[in-house]
Amino acid sequence: MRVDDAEALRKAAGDGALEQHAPIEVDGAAIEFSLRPPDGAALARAVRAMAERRIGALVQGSGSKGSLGNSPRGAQVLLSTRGLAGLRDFDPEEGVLRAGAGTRLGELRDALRASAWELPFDPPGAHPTLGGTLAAAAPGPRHTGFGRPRDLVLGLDAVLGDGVRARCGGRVVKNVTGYDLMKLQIGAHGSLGVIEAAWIRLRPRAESERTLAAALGSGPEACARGVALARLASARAVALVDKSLAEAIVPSLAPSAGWLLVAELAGDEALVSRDAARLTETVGAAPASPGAIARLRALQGETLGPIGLRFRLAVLVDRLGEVSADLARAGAALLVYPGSGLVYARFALDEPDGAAVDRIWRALGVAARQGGGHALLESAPAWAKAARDVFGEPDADLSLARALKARFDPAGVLNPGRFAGGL
Amino acid sequence: MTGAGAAPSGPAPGLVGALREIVGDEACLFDPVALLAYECDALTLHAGRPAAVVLPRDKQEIARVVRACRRFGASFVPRGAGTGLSGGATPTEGGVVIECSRLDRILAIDPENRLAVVQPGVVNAALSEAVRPLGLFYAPDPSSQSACTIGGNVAENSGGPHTLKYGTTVNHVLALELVLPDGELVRLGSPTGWASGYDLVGAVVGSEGTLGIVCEVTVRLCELPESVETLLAVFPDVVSACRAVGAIIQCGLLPAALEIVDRRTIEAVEASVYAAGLPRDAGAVLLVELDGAAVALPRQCERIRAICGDAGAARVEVARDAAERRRFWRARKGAFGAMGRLAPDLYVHDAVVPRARLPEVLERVCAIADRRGLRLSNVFHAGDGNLHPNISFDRRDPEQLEQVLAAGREILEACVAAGGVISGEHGIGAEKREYLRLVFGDDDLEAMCRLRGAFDPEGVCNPGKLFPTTRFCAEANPKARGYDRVAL
Repeated sequence: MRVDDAEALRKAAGDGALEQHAPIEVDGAAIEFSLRPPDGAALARAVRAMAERRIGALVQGSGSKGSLGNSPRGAQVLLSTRGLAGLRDFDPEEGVLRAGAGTRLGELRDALRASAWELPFDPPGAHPTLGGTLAAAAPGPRHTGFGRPRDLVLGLDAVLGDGVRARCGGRVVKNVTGYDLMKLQIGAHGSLGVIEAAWIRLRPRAESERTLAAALGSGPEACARGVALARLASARAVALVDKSLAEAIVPSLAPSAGWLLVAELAGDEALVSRDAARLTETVGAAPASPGAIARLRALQGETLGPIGLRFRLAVLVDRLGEVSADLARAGAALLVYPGSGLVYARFALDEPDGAAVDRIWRALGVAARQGGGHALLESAPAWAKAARDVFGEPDADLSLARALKARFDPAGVLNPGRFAGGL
Repeated sequence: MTGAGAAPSGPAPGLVGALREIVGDEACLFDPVALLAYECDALTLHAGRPAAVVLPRDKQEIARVVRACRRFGASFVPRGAGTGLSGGATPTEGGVVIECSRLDRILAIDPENRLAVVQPGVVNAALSEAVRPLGLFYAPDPSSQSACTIGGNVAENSGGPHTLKYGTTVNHVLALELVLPDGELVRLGSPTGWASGYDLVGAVVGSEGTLGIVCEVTVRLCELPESVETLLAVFPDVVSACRAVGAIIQCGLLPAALEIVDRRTIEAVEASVYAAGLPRDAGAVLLVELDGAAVALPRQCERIRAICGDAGAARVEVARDAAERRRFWRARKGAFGAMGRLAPDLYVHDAVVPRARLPEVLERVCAIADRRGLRLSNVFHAGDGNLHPNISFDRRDPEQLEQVLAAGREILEACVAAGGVISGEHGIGAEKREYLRLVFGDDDLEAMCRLRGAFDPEGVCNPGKLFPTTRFCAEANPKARGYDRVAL
C-alpha cells in the first residue's frame, strides 16, 4: 500500500487502528495491512477513504469463513469488524437483542444463558461473529429448527461502499416500514456493505432437549425417511451422515453401510418425549450424546485430506436420494440436512490434480441441476478456485446484481471479486 | 416520463391503441366511467385518475404492456384486488394501471417439497383451500384474505393474525418471476429457499410494487397443525390485557395468534350482525390461539389461563369446538365490518411498538383521539405489537377529516417515540411517505433509493409511493437535481 494511502486510513480510523504485518494469505491473496476501526463512525470514515483511494478491503470478523467466496481481486487490507463488538441491547421482555457485528456468537450465548431466550444461530467455525454469520447467511445444524438467518434479523446497520451509514428495519418483530435492505446485506458476503450491528429475534429457550441417533439404511427411501423425520414438530437439528463420516459423530451407532441419522429435539417436554418415541418406533433411534451436534457442526465446516474441496448444495428435498447417490458415486463424503435440502459434499485429493477438480466440478453442476437448486464451492485451495465462479451458475441474470453492486459499492472496494459473478 | 401529478390526465397519443393491441379491446379500459373503480384502493382518501387500466392474461402480456408504457412515456401501477390500506395501488395521473386479477391460476402444487407455484392474481384464501386436502396451508393470512391476492401480498409483505408464529409473506416466498420496469422478465430466488447470489426475493417482497411487476410466485406451504386451541380472556381494561400478552411472550410461549379487541370495538361488534356474545361491559378481550402437537397444547393452555388470571382476567374461556372457535374469532374478524357501520368512513391505522410498551402507547393513542373529539377503537395483533387504531369519521366534514389526519400523525409519532415503526403490514404507499422521516434519516432513505435505482432507474414503476416527495432519488433521475419534481 502506498504511504499516503496508509496514512489516510490511519487518519480515518484512528491511531492504532492500522497495523502492518508480515503477509497473511487469504484465499490466494497476500495482505500486509489490517485495519480495525474502533466504532461505526471510524468504520464509515475508513470505508469512505478506501473508496476515495480505491483501496480494496477484505472484510473479516473472526476469519472463520476466510475460505468462502471467489479469490479476491486486488485487496490490500483486512478490514476487521472486531472493534465493533459488544451486546448493545437485550430486551428480555421482547426476546430481542442488538449487538455489534464483531461480537462473537459465544459471547452472546453467554449473555443469554440465564434468560428464557436462545440465540438462533449456530454456524461452524472458530468463534464466528454475528456480522460474519449474517454476511455469509451461514446455517449450522440447528437451522432445521431455527430457520434461515435472513428470517431472524429485525434490523441492520451497515456501512455502504462509499462510507454512508444506513439503517434499515428496527427492533420490533413485524415491520414493513421502507425497503427491506437487510435481506440484501444478509448473504451478500460483505460485497454491498459492511454490517455494523443488527437486531436479532431470539427464540424461546427449550424446556427439554434430547439427542438421538439411528442407522438408517441406504438408498433414496432412507433420504425420504430423513425428510419426514426432519418435519417432527420438535426437530431442532436433523442430519444424515454417510458411513465414512458416521464414526466421527456417534461412534457407537455408526453403520457399516448407509446413513447415520442424528436428531436433536427441543421444546416442551411432552412434545419432545412424543417425538423421541416416534424416532424410536420408526427407525429404532437410541439416545446419543448431545456432543453429537457439536461434532456435526465441526464436520460441516471441515475439509478432508491433504487437499480438500467442500461444496454446499441446496436441492429440493424430494430429490435428495438421487442427488446424494450421484454425489457418492463421484467420491463425495456426505452430510445432508433433509429438513432444508442442504447437502455438504466433501472430496479429498492426494495431490493438486486439476483434471480431478474439473471432474468433481462437473459432477456437482449436474447434481445441482438435477436437484433443482445450485452448488456453492465453500472451500478449496486457491488454485482449484481459479477461473471458476465458486457460486456456480447464477439463479438470475447478473445485470441486477451488477447494478446493485455499482450503487452500493461504487468504487468496488468491498471484498472485490469475491461474490457471485466476480462482484 | 410522467411525474406524479405533473402531466395532464389524458393518455399519451397512441398509448391506448398500443395497449388494446396487446390485451384486446375488452381488457383495456379507458372510458372515464370505467376508470372510476380504479381511482383508489381500500385507502379511499388517496385517489388518482389513470389514463387506462389493462387486464393482461399472462406474463408475456404484462411484459409487453410495460414495454408499451415505456415507449409512450407512461408510468404504470400494478394492482391486485385493490384491498391495500396504504394507497399502494393508487393510480398516477396519466399512468396505466396493470391489474393482475386475470392471472389467477395455481400452476403447481408440490406436496413433497411443500411448495406451490401461483400466478399473482390467485386469491390468498383460495390457495390455502386448494392445498388443505393435502394437509397443508399457506400461512400469511391478512384480514382481507378472502379477497386479496398473492401478488398484492408480495408487494406489501402482508402479515395477518398468525404472523406471530408463522412470519409474514417474505418468510414464505421462495422464488418470483418479475417483469422489470424495462419490460424484461426475470426469475429471482430458488424453490429450494437457498438462492445463489443476492437475496433479490427478499428485496422485492414488500417493495410495494416499485421494483417491478410480480407475475409468478413460488411459495412455501406449511403443515396444517395437528391440533388447535382457542382461548378468549375477558379483561376489565385493555392495559391488563396487554400485560397478559407481555407475560405470555416473556415466558417463551409462542401462540399462533394473540389478538386484542378493546371495549370500543366490543360495543360496536355486539351491536352489529357480527355479535359474538361478548360481555358489553368488558374492557378488552384477548384472543389466544395455540396450535401444534396435541400433546403439548393442554399444558400451554393451562399456562395461558394462569397468566391471564394473574393479569386480572375476569374469565377465560376455551373454545369447546369449531363452532365456538369461529364465534371467538368473529369478534376479531367482524371488527372492521362493525366499525364501518358507525360512520361513513373508517381510517385503519397500522404501527408497531415493542410489546412491553403496548399499555402506555395505547393510552396515548386513545388520549390523542379523545382530545381531538374522534371516535377511535383498537383491534390489533398484540403478540406482534402491531396496533390498528381505527378512527370512524365522516370525510364530508372537512374539519373532522383534518382532525383525523392530524391524529394519525400524532399516533405514529407516539409509536416511533416508544421504539416502534410506522407500518407493520399495510405498507407506506401513498399514505405515509411523508412520515418515513419519522423513522429514517437522509442516509437511510438514500440507501433505499440505491435499491430502487438498480431496478427502476427512471422511476416509472409505481411512482409517488413509499419515498418522501422531495429530495429523494436524485441519483435515479439526474435531471431532477432541483429535487422538487422527482417522480419517485
